[in-house]
Formats: sequence, structure tokens, C-alpha cells
Amino acid sequence: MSDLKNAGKYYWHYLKKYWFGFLMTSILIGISTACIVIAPTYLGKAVSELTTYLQQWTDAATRGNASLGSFHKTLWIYLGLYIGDATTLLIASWILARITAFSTGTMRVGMFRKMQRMQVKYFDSHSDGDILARYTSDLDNIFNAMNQALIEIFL
Amino acid sequence: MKVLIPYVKRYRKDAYIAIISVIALVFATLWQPRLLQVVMNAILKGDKATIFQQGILLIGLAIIGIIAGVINTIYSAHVALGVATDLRADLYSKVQSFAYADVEKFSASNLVVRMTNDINQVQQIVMAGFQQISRIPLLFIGAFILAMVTMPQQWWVLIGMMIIVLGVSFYSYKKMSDYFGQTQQNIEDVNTVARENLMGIRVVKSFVQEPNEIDKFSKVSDKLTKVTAKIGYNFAILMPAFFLTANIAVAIAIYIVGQNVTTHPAYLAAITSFISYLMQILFAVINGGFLMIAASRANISLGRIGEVMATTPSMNYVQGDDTPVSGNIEFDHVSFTYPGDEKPTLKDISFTVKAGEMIGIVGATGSGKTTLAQLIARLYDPDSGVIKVGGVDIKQLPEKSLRETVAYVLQRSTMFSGTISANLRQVKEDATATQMQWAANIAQASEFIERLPQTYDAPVEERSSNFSGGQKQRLSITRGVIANPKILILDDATSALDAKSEKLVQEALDKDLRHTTTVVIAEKISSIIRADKILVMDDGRVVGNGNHHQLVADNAVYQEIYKTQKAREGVK
Ligand SMILES: Nc1ncnc2c1ncn2[C@@H]1O[C@H](COP(=O)(O)OP(=O)(O)OP(=O)(O)O)[C@@H](O)[C@H]1O
Ligand SMILES: [Mg+2]
Repeated sequence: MSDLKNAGKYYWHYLKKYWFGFLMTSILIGISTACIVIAPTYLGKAVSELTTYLQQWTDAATRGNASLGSFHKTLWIYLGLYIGDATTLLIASWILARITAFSTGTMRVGMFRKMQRMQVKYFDSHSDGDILARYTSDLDNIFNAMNQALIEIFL
Repeated sequence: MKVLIPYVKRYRKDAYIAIISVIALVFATLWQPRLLQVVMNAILKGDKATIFQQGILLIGLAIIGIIAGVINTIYSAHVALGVATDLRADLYSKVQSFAYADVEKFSASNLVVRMTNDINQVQQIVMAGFQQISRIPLLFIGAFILAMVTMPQQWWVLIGMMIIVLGVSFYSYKKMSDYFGQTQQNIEDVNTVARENLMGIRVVKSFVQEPNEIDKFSKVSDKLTKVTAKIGYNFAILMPAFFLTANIAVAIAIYIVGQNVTTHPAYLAAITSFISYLMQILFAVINGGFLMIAASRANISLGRIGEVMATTPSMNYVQGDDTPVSGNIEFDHVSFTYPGDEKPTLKDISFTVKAGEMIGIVGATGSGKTTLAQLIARLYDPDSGVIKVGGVDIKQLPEKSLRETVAYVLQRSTMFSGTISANLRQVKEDATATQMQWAANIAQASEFIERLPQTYDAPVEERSSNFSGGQKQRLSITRGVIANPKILILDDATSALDAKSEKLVQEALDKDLRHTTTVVIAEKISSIIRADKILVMDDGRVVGNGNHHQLVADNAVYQEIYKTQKAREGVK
């Protein structure tokens, strides 16, 4: 449990300077999600407007009133929503990609610095392969996990 | 990727089941929108009988889909696990056949990475392959055909969308695999700097090199960071671009349906299934892309595995029966250079040892004592000259005979993790409790082993870290003598023992292993003073050969060593 707390502190140390990025992503993702949720209703609306149009057109009495105007407008809104979704999503994932790459990089250099400050005793009690693995597979795992976690949290 | 075919073939049955189940899965996925369309029409018409009948079909289809999916996952995992296990076993036995020099060429940690990390990559791609490889094209083609059938008039919307999506994917996947290649290179660079630093950590520290080293590391690390970020940016573009394209296609399709609704009113009901097929095409492309990326990573891993597989061991043993040989040792003008070194480490060494004799080797650090011992155990072959054991050139001895004849207690040897008895049985499979006790008695190890709660079944941790330096050495000597070898090499094997225990070990060796030739490498002359013959080494040459009295009388190098050691003892 205290391990978990320490891990939390550790990540916080490396992630806190990205708070603005996280805030931006949250807002952007909020917008993008809203777009995705709303868009299908416009799809439904377009189909039902089309149905109404077809009914009016089929009936000789109302054929004169039949118009595709509102159908076209709905389609444009539908498109607009998806463009909004795509741009916000693009910017958000771009920021996240930046954060994961750069924070892992800082962690890597931080670890190396730390290694320079360790006492020789530490290197005697840990095998070289073990220490090296931290630079490659452990950091790689952290990178993947962070990528995954941030995507799950935000997207 | 071709290398994998023979491995997959061993799991042919599971592979077929995986493929058949994926076909069933695709069928279920593709047919669902069609059925849904029929049900929708029926609902609109209020045709209850059809709703019920088709509804049941729809549920049945969903169940088939789920079952097929589960079966596919299970059998794909079977194949992937099997292939990975076999590949790892082959790799392992290949590495076992390697000479010591081959292992050093790759470095042990590198081989471990290949056996774990790289094999895992391959396992993942095999798994993904059996889940996706037939599914993607089937889904893609199936969805395409069905979309065409649903709205034949709009073929160009489909084709347009596909050209854009495929174009974007090919472009970015191409770039991405370049980046992945670069990443691999950058990871290696980071590793190299970290490793160098680790190996020379004492030097770095004592010469206050830390700031320089950190600069150097930051540079390679930043490169890796930049490539990683670039990969991220590419991924960031992909998803929004795909979904935007697909939804533009949907909007165009609906727009066209709208323009022609008076002439083709039936298309109105087909809109939803058309959209479903569009999305299925899109997902097929996205999954295909991911598979391609994973495949290119796995390909790099396969290459690294192949590199190990393609290495022919630089040392071959003759096949043959386990021929017993005696304990004579003969070096005849032997010279040796470490692979990659320019100057020889051993130069023109000749000497003979009769069976049962004790021979001591002394010399300054780096003079080549360990190297000489390694040649007796044939960890390396000499550049020139002949080494004979029991009168036979060791190149003509089967591996088993040599290993049984020569026992080598390394300068800094550790035990394998497990138990003490397991370690002893690795050398002598059928070692009995009495034999273990006998060996431990010689090594002065029985006292502390018998005090352990589990005695000979006591656990040994990795790097024998649960034993003290002196205990480790005693255990190593026990392992060295357990099989009662003809030749026993002790390379600085008693350095951590107190003078009294060391003397007891030597007396026990004299008594219990009287017929064994013992080669004792030591720092202290007192450890080898009783040897029948002492080799004095200096800078890769044997500069003295005789017993203690002879050498003290006429060997300058020996006199020098002896004088300094005696002076030091005097101070104590
Ligand atoms: N694996 C290796 N590859 C390349 N050079 C090596 C290797 N092992 C040892 N050497 C070099 O060969 C020389 C002899 O080393 P060796 O280990 O035989 O010395 P030694 O006499 O056993 O020294 P010590 O008393 O310190 O154990 C040294 O200069 C060393 O740097
Ligand atoms: Mg040595």
C-alpha cells in the first residue's frame, strides 16, 4: 500500500509540470465527446426529415410543400460536429503523446542522475542486467502503461 | 516471418480451428446488419411473424459470433504459446551449444533479452495473426461487397473513402515503421551508455566524471524521446483522420439518398446497414494497420533471434564415447589471444604435469593465470600449440569426457539458485548423501551446512546471496570435488578462507583426492608452498617452473613476490 503511495508520488513528481496540458486535454476531450454523443441524433433527425419529405412528396396534395432545406441543414450540422470532434481529438492526442514521450524521457535521465549519486555498494548488491533492465524494459512498460492509462482516462 | 512456418505447422490442428472459427466470426459479424435491416422493415410493416422469426435468427447469429470469438482466442493463444515455447527451447539449446567466446560476443544479458523480450514480441504477433490475419481481408472484402449490394449506386463514395483511408494508412505506417527502426537503434544507444557507465562506475566516481556522463546520456536519451514523440504524433493524426473521412462518406451517402429519395425510396431503409458496413471497412483497415506495425516490430525481433540461430558455435567437440583419460596435463608451445584483442594474452607456454601432482600457479594480477586455467577446461581454444589431457589433445576429446575429467572452481564462482543438493547433482547426477558429505568435508563446508535447518536441501538464492563469501567458496569447492575429478582447478578458490581452514582444505585434498591432479592458482605463496611444481607467470609467459626451494634460490620474479609477502606477514 505504501508502495502504491510512493509510486503515486513518483509519477506526480514527473507529471505535475504538465498540469496545463492535462487541463487542456480534459477540456478538448469534453468537447469531442459531446460532439460524438450529439452527432448520431442529427443522423436520426436527417433520416426522419427525409422520411417526412418522402411522405409529403408522395401525397399529391402536399407535394408543393415538400422541401429538402431542413434535411440539408441537419446534414451540415452533422458534418460540423464530426469536424469539431476530429480537431479536438487530434489536438488532445497530440498533447498526450507529447506528455508521455517527454515525461518518460525525463524519468530516464532522472534515473541515470540518481544512479550517479548511488554508492558503489548499490552496484555490488544488484546485478548489472537487473539495473540495465530498468532503462529498457521497465521504462518501456511504464511508457506503454502510461499511454494506455492516459488514453483510457481521457479518450 | 518464414522462419515461423515450420513452428506453426507443429500446431496445425489448433491453427485450423483458429482459422475456421474466425471465418464463422466474420460471417456472423457481416450478416448481422443485413438481418437487422430485414427486422427493421418488418417492424415498420408491423409483420410480427417475420419479426419473431428473424429476431431468433439474429440472436442465434450473435451467439455463434460470441462462441466463434472465444474459440478463436483460445486456439490462437494455443498456437502462439506453443510456437513461442518451441522457439525459446530451440534458442536455448542453441545457446547451450555456444562456446564461451560466442556467448561473450552477444553478451549474456543481450541473449537473455532475445530469449525473453524478442520471443514475447513473436508470440504476440502469432496470436494477433491468428485472430486477425484472415479476419481483416474477409471483413474488408465482405463488408465492401455487402455495402455495394446495399447501395450499388454509391460505389464511388465507397471507393473514394477507401482510397483516402488506405492512402493515409500506408503513408503513416510506412513512416511509423521507419520510426520504430530508429527507436530500436536509440534504445540500444541508451543501453550502451548506461552499460558502459555501469561497468566503469567506480572509475566514473573516483574521477568525478558524473557531469560528463550525464550530458552524454541526456543526448542519447533525448533522441529516443524525440522519436517516441514523433510516433505519438502520427498516431494522434490517424484516428481523427479515419473517423472524419468515414463520417464525411456517411454524410455524402445520406445526401445522395436524399437527392434521389423520390426515385429510389427503398434506399432510405438501407442507410443504417450501409453505415454499418462503412464502419466495418474502416475497422478492418485500422486493425490491419495495427497488425502491420506489430508485424514490423516482430520482424525486427525475429531478425535478432535469427542472428543467434545462424551463429555456428566457434568450437566443436568430437562425437564419441565417454573415454576415460588420466590426469596428466601437457602444454606445448601454447599461445592465446582473446577474441577481438590484438596482443596475445598467453605467449608460448609449455609445461607438463604428471597425474596426481599438485601444481601451483602464481603471478601478478593480469599475468594470465585465469586465462591459462580456462584453456585447460577448453573454454577457449589456443591460437597455436597443443594442450593435452591424459596424453590426448583436448580438441580430440568428447565434451563429456573433458567435463568429467576437469573440474574448474572459478575465481568468483556462484551457485545456481535452487538448493545445495541440486547444485551438487548438476555435476554428479547420482550423488548420494554420503558422497555429498564426503565432498563437503573436504571443502570444510559440512560444519556450516549441517547447522542449516534443511542441511543439504537448504535453499540457494540467486547469486548465492544468502551465503557469506567464505561459505560461497566452500560450496564451490564442494561442487568441484563431488564427482572426484581427475583434474581439479582451484582458481583463487580459498582466498576468502582463514589460514586454518585453508590448511584443512589442502590436507583433505591431499588425503582424499590423492590421485587427483590439483592446479592451485593463488595470490599467497603460502597456499602453494607445498606444490610439487610451481609455475611463475609474468605478462602472459611462464618465467619460472620448479618447486618452492628451487624458485626461491634462482627465480627473480618469485623471489620478489615472496619477499613482499613475507615482509607483509612480518608487519602483521
Ligand atoms: N574475457 C576477456 N576478454 C579480453 N581480455 C581479457 C578477458 N579476460 C581477461 N583478459 C585480459 O587478459 C589478461 C590476463 O587476465 P587473467 O584473468 O588471466 O589474469 P589473472 O592472472 O588471472 O589475474 P588475477 O590475479 O587478477 O586473477 C588481462 O590483461 C586481462 O585484461
Ligand atoms: Mg584470475
